Amino acid sequence: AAPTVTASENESDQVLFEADSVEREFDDGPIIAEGDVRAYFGARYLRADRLIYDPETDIVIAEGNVSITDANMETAFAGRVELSGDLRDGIAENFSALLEDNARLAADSAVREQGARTRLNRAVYTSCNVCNKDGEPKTPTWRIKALRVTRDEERKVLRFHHAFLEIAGVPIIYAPYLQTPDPSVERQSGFLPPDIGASSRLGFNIELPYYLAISNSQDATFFPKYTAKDGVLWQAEWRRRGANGYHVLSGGVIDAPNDTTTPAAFTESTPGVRWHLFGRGHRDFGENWRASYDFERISDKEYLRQYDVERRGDLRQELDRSRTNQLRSNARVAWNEGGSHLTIDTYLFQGLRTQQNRLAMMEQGLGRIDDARTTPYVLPLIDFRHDFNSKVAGGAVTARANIASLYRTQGIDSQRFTTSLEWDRDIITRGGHRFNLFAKARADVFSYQDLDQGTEVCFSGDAPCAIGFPGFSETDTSDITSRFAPTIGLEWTYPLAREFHGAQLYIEPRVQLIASPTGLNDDDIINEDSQSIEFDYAGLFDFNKATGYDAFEDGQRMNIGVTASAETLNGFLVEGSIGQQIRLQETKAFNDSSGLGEKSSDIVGSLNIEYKNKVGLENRFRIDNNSGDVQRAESRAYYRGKIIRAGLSYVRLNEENIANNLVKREELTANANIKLTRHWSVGGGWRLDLDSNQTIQQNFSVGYEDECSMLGLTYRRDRTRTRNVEPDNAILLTFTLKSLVN
Amino acid sequence: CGFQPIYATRDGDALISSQINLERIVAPENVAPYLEDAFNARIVSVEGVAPRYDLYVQAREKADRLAVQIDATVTRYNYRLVARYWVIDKETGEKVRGVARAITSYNIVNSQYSTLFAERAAVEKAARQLAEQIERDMLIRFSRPADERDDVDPEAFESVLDPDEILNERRQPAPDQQIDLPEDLYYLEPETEQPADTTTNSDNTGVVETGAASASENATPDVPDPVIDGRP
Amino acid sequence: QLIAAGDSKEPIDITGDTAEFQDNLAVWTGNVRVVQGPAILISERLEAVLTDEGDFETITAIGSVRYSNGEEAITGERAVFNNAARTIVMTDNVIVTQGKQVMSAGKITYWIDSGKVLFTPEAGKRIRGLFFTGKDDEQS
Repeated sequence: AAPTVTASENESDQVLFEADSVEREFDDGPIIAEGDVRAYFGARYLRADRLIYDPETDIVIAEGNVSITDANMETAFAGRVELSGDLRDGIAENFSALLEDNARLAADSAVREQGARTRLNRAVYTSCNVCNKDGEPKTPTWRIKALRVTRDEERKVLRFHHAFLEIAGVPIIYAPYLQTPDPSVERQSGFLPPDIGASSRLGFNIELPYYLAISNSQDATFFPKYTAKDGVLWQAEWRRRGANGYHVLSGGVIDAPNDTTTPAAFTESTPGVRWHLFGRGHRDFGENWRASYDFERISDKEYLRQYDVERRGDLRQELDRSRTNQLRSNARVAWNEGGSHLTIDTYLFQGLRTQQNRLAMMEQGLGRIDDARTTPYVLPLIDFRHDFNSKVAGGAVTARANIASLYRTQGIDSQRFTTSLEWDRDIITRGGHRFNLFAKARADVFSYQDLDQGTEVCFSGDAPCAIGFPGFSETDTSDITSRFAPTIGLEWTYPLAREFHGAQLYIEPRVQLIASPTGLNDDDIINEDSQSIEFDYAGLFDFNKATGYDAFEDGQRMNIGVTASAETLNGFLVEGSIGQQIRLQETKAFNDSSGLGEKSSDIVGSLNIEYKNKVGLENRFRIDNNSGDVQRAESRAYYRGKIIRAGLSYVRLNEENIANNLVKREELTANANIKLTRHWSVGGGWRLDLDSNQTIQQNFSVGYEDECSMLGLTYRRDRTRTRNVEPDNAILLTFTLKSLVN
Repeated sequence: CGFQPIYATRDGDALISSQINLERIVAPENVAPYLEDAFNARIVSVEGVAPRYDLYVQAREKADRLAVQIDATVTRYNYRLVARYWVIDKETGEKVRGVARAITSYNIVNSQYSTLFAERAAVEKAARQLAEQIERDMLIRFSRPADERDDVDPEAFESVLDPDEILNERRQPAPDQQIDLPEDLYYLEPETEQPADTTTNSDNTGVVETGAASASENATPDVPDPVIDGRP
Repeated sequence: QLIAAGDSKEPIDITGDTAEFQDNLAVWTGNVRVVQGPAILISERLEAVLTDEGDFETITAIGSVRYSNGEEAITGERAVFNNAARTIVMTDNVIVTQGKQVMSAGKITYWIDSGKVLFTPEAGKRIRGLFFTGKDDEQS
C-alpha cells in the first residue's frame, strides 16, 4: 500500500521517485537508486539508469540515458547530469534537447543556472531531422555549430558565440555572434528570410526584412532593399489589430539617380525621390457601422515595375490593380441593419500608363490615356438597399437608391441619382417547373457640367464618346436629363436529372422573357460606368446586362439557354452550356464589340471535360451568330499528377473597342512544375502574346523544401518595356531556415 | 426517357430548396454579401416550412492575369471562385459534402470607373454561378436514395484551386487564403478522416498530463520518447 | 525480564505478555518489546534463539513489526535480527521513514552498526520513495 505521507510540505520541493533497487552506504549517506530510475519534481520529470542523491550536499547525480522533461514539454537528454535537488539547475554532459517546432540543441556539456539560463559548450543547433527514417544519423540540411550557446528562457533568445552556419555539412558563414528568437516564441523580433536577386534593372539587390513585435496588438516589418544601381529603397510595414479594427500601412521611399536618358520631349519628370504608400484597414463602430479604407499611391508611373514592388502580406489582393496599371484608392462607410444596407464610397484613381503607349494610342485616335486631368474623382458613390420582410403578392419587395458624383479637374463633371422598386417572386410547381416573376421600376436623373471638355475615354471635338453619344456641345456646357425604366419579366427553368448505367445525367433548359420600353439609352446620357461589358453564359440571365447605371438594357428580349452535364462513376465529368439573346429591337445600351445589342446576339457557352480533377479542359466561348467565327475563346488544359503539375491556357479576344483601348488580343501561357525528388522540384512558365508574336515573360525555377528549410531560385526573363523600364533578366533567390529565420 | 424533374415533389413532402437554412458562409469580404444574396435568391422559402437542412459554405477566390501587353499592362482578369459545402439533414443527421466552382472574367478598360463596376459584376456573376451550382448539386444528390449519395473527397477542394502558377509571379507565396474553417465545421467531417485541410487548427500533439504521478502501484508512467506523447 | 546479551554494548531488554523458554529457544507473544539503548523493536510475536553461552544468536519478530532507533523507523510484517552479522532483515511490505523521507520496498537489509541500508523490491514490483530537497533542514 502507498505510504501515507503525513508531511504537509507543499508539493513543489517534494521529489517522488521509483527504482528497481535502492541502497544507502551509511547513515545519512547518499541514497543510490538503480534500474530505470524515475524522479518527479512538480512538473519536471527525470529518468536515468542510476540516480544518486546526497542529502548533505543536496546534489542529484543522474547517470546513463538521462532525460529531463520540463513543464513545457521540452526534453533534454544527457549522458551524465549533476543537478540541484529540485532538478532545476545543474551540469550535464553530452547534452541534447528537443525544443519546440522540431528544433534541437546538442552540446558536449551544458550548465543550467537559476532554471532559466542554459550555457552550452561546443553546441549544435538545427530544426532539421538528424536521423533518417530507419534511424541512422544523417547530416541535417542546415545546422549552426558554435563554441558557446546561451539559451535565455526569460528573454526567449538563443545567443551563439563563434558560430558557423553549415548547409548540408559545409560551413558557409562564420559569425562571431548570432542571436535568434527561441523556437518556443510565436512573435519575436528578428530577421526574416532575405530576398536576394540580381537583375538588369536593379543590379544586385537584397531585401533583408526585420520583424519587430511592438506589442501584442501591434507589429512592424522593416525591409530595406539595397539595389546596386539605385541605392537603398527604404521600406516598412506597420500593422495594428485593435478590438474592433485592423490597420496595415506599408510604404517605401528611395532617392534614385534621375534617369533622363530619353529625349526631353517625352520625359515625364522622374522625380529624384520616388515612393509608394499602400494602406488598408477598417474600424467597426458598434454592431452596424464600419468605416474602411484601401489606398495605393505612388510617386511616378514606373516606380512599381522599376523596383519590383507589389502589394504583399495582408495588403495582398487577388484582383491586384497595380498590375493593371491602374491604382484605385477607396474610403468607405458601411451601415447594415436587418434588411437595410448602405455603403458610402469615395474613389481616387491613378493611371500608370506612360507616354510611350499613349503615343501609340494617340495615333489610333484614342483618348488621353491616364491623364490626371480627365481621370475622375468619385465623390461619392452611395448605394442603399432595403429588403422589405413582408411579402407582397407572394413576392419579395426591395427598394434601392444609388447616387454617384464624378468630378474631373479638366473634364466633364457628372452627377446621377437612381432609385428603383423591385418585386420578385419564385414559384415551383409540383411538376418541377421553376418560375421567377419580377417587376422593377427605376428612375434616373443625370446632370452634367463642362460638357465641352470630354472624359478620359473621349475628348471634345474630334472623337465621339465610347458609345457614340454626341453628348458634347461647345455651347450649352451643362445639361440635365432623366429616364424612367419599368421592366417586367418571367423566367422558366425545368431542370431534369437521370441515372444512366451509373452515370449521372443532368439537363436544364432556361428561358427568360423581359419587356422594357425601348430607346432608353438616350444620346445625352454619357456612359461613365458601363463601358466594360462581358457577355457570357454566367451573365446571360441577368435581366439588365449593363454593369453600371448609365446604360440600361431596354426593349423586349428573350434570353434562352441550356446547360447539361454527365458524370460517370469512374470520375469523368462533361458539362456544357450554350445560350443566346433574341431581341425584338436593337439596343444602344452596349458597344457592338460586346456581342450584344443586335436582334440576335452572339452565341455564348462553355464546355468543360474533366477526369477526377486530375486532367481537365475548360473552355468558355463567344461565337459570332452571323459569321460564326470565334469572337472570344478562353481555354485552359491542366494536368495535376503527383509528380507533374502543368497548365496551358489560351485566350483569344476579338472585341475591338478603340475608345476603351480594347484591341484584338491573343495570348498563350504555359506553366509546369515537376517534382524530381521528394524535396527537389523544377518549374517553368511562359507567356506569349500571339497577336504580336512576342514573348511577354519566361520563368524558370528550382525549388528545394524539407521539414526545416525552403529554397527557391527563379530566373525571370521579363520582356515587357515602358519608356524608362527596359526588359529585365532577373535571378531571384529566397530561402527560409525554419525556426532560425522563418 | 427516364429524366426526372429535380424540383418535382410528391404531394405531401416539401421541396428541398424551401427547407434550406443558410447556416454559415465563410468567404472573402468582397464576395460574402454577393454569395448571401445569390443563395437567398435560389432558396424558395415557404411559410410554415421549417428549414430542415443546414448549409455551410466555404469559398476561396483566385485571379489569373490574362492578355498582358508588352508594356506589362494586364488587360483582363479571370476570377475563379471555388467552394466546398456541407449540408446536414437535421432530421436524419446525414451529412453531404461537395465542391463547386465558378469562373467569370472582365476586361480592364480606360475608364477606371467602368473597370470598378466590371470587377464588381464579375464577382457577383461568379457568386451567382456558385450558388446555382451548389443548389443544383444538393437537389440531385438528395433526390437519390441515401446510400447512393456518393461522397466528394475534400482533396478536390485543394486541387481545384491550382497552386500559384509561376507566371502569376507570386514570388512571395500568397498567404493561404484558407479561411480558418470554424471549429464546429470540422465535426462535420466523418470522424474517421482528418480534413485534408493544410492548416489543421486542432493541435494534434497528444495532450500530456505531467505532475507528480501518484505513488499508487499501477501508475508506471512511460518514458516520453522524443515525439512528446507521454501519458500517465 | 532483563537478559544481558553477551558482548553487545548495551543490555537487550525483552518484555512480552507471555514468555516460554525451552533449552536455547525463547518465545514471547503479545505486544512484545525489545529495547537496546535508543533502539526499540515491537511485534506481536518474538522468537529468540540463544547460543550455548546464553547470547542471542537470532531474534525473529513476526506480525506488524516496528523498529526505530530515534532517527529511522522501519515497519514490516517480519524482521530477523542476526546478532553475528549485526543485521536486521525486514520483509513483507516494508516502509522506512527517516524524518520526512519515506521509502517502501519488498525487503530491507539494515546494518545496525554502519547504518547501511539495502532496499530490494518484491518480485515484479518497484521501490518507491519520497524525499525532500535541501530547503528544509529538519533532517537529522
